[in-house]
Amino acid sequence: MINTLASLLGFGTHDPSFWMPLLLSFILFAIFVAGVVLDGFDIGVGCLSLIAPDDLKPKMLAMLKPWRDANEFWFFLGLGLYAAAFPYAWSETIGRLYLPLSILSIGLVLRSVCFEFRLRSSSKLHGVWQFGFGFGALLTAFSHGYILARIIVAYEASVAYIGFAILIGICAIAAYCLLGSSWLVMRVKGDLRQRSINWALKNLRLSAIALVAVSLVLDFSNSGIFLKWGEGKYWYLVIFLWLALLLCFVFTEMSLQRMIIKSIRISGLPYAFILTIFILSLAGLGYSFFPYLVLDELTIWDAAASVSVLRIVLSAVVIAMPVAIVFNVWVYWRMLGESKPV
Amino acid sequence: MTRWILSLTQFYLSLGFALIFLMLELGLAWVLLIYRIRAKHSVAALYAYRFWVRVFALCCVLAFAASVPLILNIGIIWPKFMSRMGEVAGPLIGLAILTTFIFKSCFLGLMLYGQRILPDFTHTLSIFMVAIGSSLSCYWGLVFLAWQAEKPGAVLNEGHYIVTDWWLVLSANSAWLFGLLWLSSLLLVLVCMFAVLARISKIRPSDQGDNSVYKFAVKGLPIGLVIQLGFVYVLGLIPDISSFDLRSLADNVVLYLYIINFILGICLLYAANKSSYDLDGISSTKRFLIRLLALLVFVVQIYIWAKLFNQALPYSAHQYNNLRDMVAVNNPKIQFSLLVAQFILYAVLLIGLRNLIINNIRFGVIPVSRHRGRA
Repeated sequence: MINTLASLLGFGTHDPSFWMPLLLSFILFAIFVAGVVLDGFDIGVGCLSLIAPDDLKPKMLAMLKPWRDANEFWFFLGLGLYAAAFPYAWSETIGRLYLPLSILSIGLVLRSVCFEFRLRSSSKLHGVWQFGFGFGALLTAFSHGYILARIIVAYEASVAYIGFAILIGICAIAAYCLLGSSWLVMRVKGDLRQRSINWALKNLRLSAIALVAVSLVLDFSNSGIFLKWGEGKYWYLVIFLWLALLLCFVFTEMSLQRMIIKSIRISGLPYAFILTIFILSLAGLGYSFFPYLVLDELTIWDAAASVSVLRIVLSAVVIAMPVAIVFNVWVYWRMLGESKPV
Repeated sequence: MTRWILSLTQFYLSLGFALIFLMLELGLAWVLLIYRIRAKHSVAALYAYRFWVRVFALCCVLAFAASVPLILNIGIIWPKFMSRMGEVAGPLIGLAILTTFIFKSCFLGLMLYGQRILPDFTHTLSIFMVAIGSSLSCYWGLVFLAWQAEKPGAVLNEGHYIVTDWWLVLSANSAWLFGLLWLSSLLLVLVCMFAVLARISKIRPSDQGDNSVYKFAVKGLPIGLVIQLGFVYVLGLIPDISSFDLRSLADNVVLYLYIINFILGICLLYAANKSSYDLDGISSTKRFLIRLLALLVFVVQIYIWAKLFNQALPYSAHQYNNLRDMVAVNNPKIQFSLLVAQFILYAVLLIGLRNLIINNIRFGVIPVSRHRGRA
């Protein structure tokens, strides 16, 4: 497959202007998936803290504390790699996303700053900073969904598409709340856990609707993807993916329903299923987009900087990657399972 | 034309906010290093260090958060910018983020939370590494600003710049600019110190730490102003000193501001020296002088940097055929409402920061625990 891809573009397989953008796009996608999955519970718990009762709010924010520093960096790292490796894509991708990216930047600033200010402020103002954190998480989730919707339709600008983007923005809030609440179900006991089970059940249907809507729009609005899913070489993988997603949703609903009445021992099951759903849908998104950064317009090789710059970027990545992987595994290992006293 | 003004305002708002806190973080890192080294045999320096490390932590958080809108605004407000200068700007942005990542994740935690566990030398070393890290990350951004003027080491090829020699790019006048940045950072820290000291003298009796900071700020101000005037002259921000007609008067506002600040600084130095640097019970005229000095030095810093960025602007603007090409956003109403939202956000955060610092002045610094209880 690599050979056919290379010869289609007119490169040899060992040509650095072929494999360097390919490798960097995989790394960028890995950072993107890690950012959504590992930062997801932070955004979700932040959104949920807006509707939680007042005595549970500080507890929810305190649960996020160990991973706050690492979570802040995912977006930065992805942005830095995107700027260094694919600068020519910026005017077509980021340049067309003025509204959602402005909202995203406001949300990110609110999240980082309000959390740290809450830690250092007097207890009178804790409520203000908590609200700021929750509102920032809400804005971040909404803008993530909006950006996804804009990317899928290749930035068409008519009113219907804007409405679709707003819908997917709201559903992204639901999806992140689902991730956050299933993490809380795994993590705590008592009142917060019961409330999280209820929140997860309410958000589950909306997330499933969002996933189906996004996939349908992607499939039918773009003929290339329609072919890739239906008659591409790996069509059986597509069917397997859909079945797996359906089963994950059904099993999550079943296990959450059982948890309402009695507390089953394996509390991490909903979170495992939701993680699988997220990772599978992101993998499907990556497979659909594969060589394009803007659907049918801009490929990875169009957008990549020249080979000398890519060489510099790759050397920096090679040095930083083992450090980053070790650091993140060490920090995120304790995220799974029940919360234990330090 | 409205779109141009709106875009420029939004960009300068993000840039200004990020730059103030980046400079405060840079200046405070080096000042804290000096205080930590002195703290080994001076209790006054230890008190000063404990207070100002809290301000430093707050500025770090704000600087880190404020750089997100800055980088995103480069992409969304000037979209063709990255197509044209992407090969130069991209690696610099990536390097700045990577440097921040490495130094922040390794050393900032040790510096802020590790004073009780670590031995003295290791803690001082971690402060030194944090200072080096802040300087490096600022340096990568500054290289780009300095490169804009002459664009050495890169050639224009089919509408975008390709780098031929990275050493030329990295050394293009950036050393002088970095010196100016460093001095601006130190002067901004002095501005902050003056503001805090004025507030302290009003609210509570001062302790040895405050007096030590008072001495440092009052002595450092004239020296800093003179050295910075030298850098400003070398960088060509004072175009024409020799003639005295009306036009050169307007151009040389910077010079006159410096002279006023220097005279006021010497007055304050003399007055503080006479009372042997005791902040307790200073007269309200002295307090007014301190506040006025803080405001004026702040105005000078903003003026210099605004002039620098204004000079860099035509060189960036040359690349476009007309204004319509440059500005991405189609809808001025959306742009205006987002600009207002961003302004309100920054105002809220600034008020929150001021509130936190005043709380620290009134009630002392309450430590933030790192690993306590369940998570």
